[in-house]
Amino acid sequence: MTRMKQTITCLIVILALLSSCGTDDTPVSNKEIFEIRTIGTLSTSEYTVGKIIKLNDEGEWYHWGDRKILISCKAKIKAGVNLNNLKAEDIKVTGKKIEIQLPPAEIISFEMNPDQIKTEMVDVSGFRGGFSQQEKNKILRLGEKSIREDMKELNILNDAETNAIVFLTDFYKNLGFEEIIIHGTKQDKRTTNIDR
Amino acid sequence: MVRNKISELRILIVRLAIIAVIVIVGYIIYQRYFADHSGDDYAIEDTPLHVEEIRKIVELNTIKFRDEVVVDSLELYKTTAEQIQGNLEKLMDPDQAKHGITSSNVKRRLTMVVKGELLYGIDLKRKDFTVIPKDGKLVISLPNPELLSINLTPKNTDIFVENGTWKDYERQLLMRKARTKMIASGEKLRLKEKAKVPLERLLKQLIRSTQPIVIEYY
Repeated sequence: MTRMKQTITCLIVILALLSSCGTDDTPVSNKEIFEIRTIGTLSTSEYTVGKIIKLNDEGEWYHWGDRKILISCKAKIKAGVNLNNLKAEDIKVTGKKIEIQLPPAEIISFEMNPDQIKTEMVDVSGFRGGFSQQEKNKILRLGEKSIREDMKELNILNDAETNAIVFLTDFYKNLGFEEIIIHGTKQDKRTTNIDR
Repeated sequence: MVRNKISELRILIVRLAIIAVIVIVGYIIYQRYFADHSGDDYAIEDTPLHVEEIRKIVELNTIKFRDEVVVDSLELYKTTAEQIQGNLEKLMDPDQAKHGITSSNVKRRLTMVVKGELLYGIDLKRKDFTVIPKDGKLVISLPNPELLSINLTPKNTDIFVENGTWKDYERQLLMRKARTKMIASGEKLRLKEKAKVPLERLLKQLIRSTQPIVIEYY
């Protein structure tokens, strides 16, 4: 029995010594992939929202114990209108009167600042291991998805449209127009895409 | 005769039990060390969204820059003895065993692929703009374009390699590095300057004046 243990230990050490020559320290490439696009969006409303992401991982039957994690995060969402969608027939000028049909309000940007993501609590019991960064990123993705879903309930698009109307009214007043009529878009004609 | 049959039956039951134990232990070992626990089946609890701040802004975005960068943090073993010990320790840890088995000289490595979106344009809330008719022309004075938003999200972040144990602040440091790299790429491509052309086109489209339009930056 003792002999067998010695043999196994020797084998492990030899294996470790043999493979210790292996290297895996290739530096990452600095090659970057990018895309530049011309846009014309007017952001008029910014919401900062917070969410607590709660996960209770009870695991499978062969994992004794469970894991719990609470992560707090913040997201900054900007909404506004895409002025590039303004067609020639959307702006009607008659003397000192201007009438505009505004494009529908939409989400312009969505940011989750990594510095505002904080693991508040981790509880691991039994034979379970802690959460790796890969797992935390997956949990954060679920949190992001949940925020994007909840965003539909916010008033951000209405606010963005109202603020855009206020801004454009002032803008055209500065240009010397006396009568400014700006039409918004009905809610059911707005884009439902929240995946910005 | 009957005794023999009972004895054979017992042996059969014992063998079947041994096979069952081997199968169960094998399955547990497979699940513990080799199965993919990528967390795809996680389900988070439904928690309310808190609106912390609502701000009225006026930002004209004219350039959208999408970038993808690779950021990496690497620590190597200093000596062979440290490498052997480190790799043996990794072999003992089910979460790190796959990195220990190759017994490389890498002590810890975290490699991330981060996709981001940068928006350039002008902030008309913070800085004023003026429209003045002058010598038969319409002179618009605007602030210089700047970087207005940097959108980084977990959805667009991939942890490509995670060897060893990493803390949250270390991941955040890498994210900051990715952000800095993206800003540097934007600077290199002179995107603030490039944001002027679409901005001028957009303003001309909005203004619809018969007078020639002159745009100045301050």
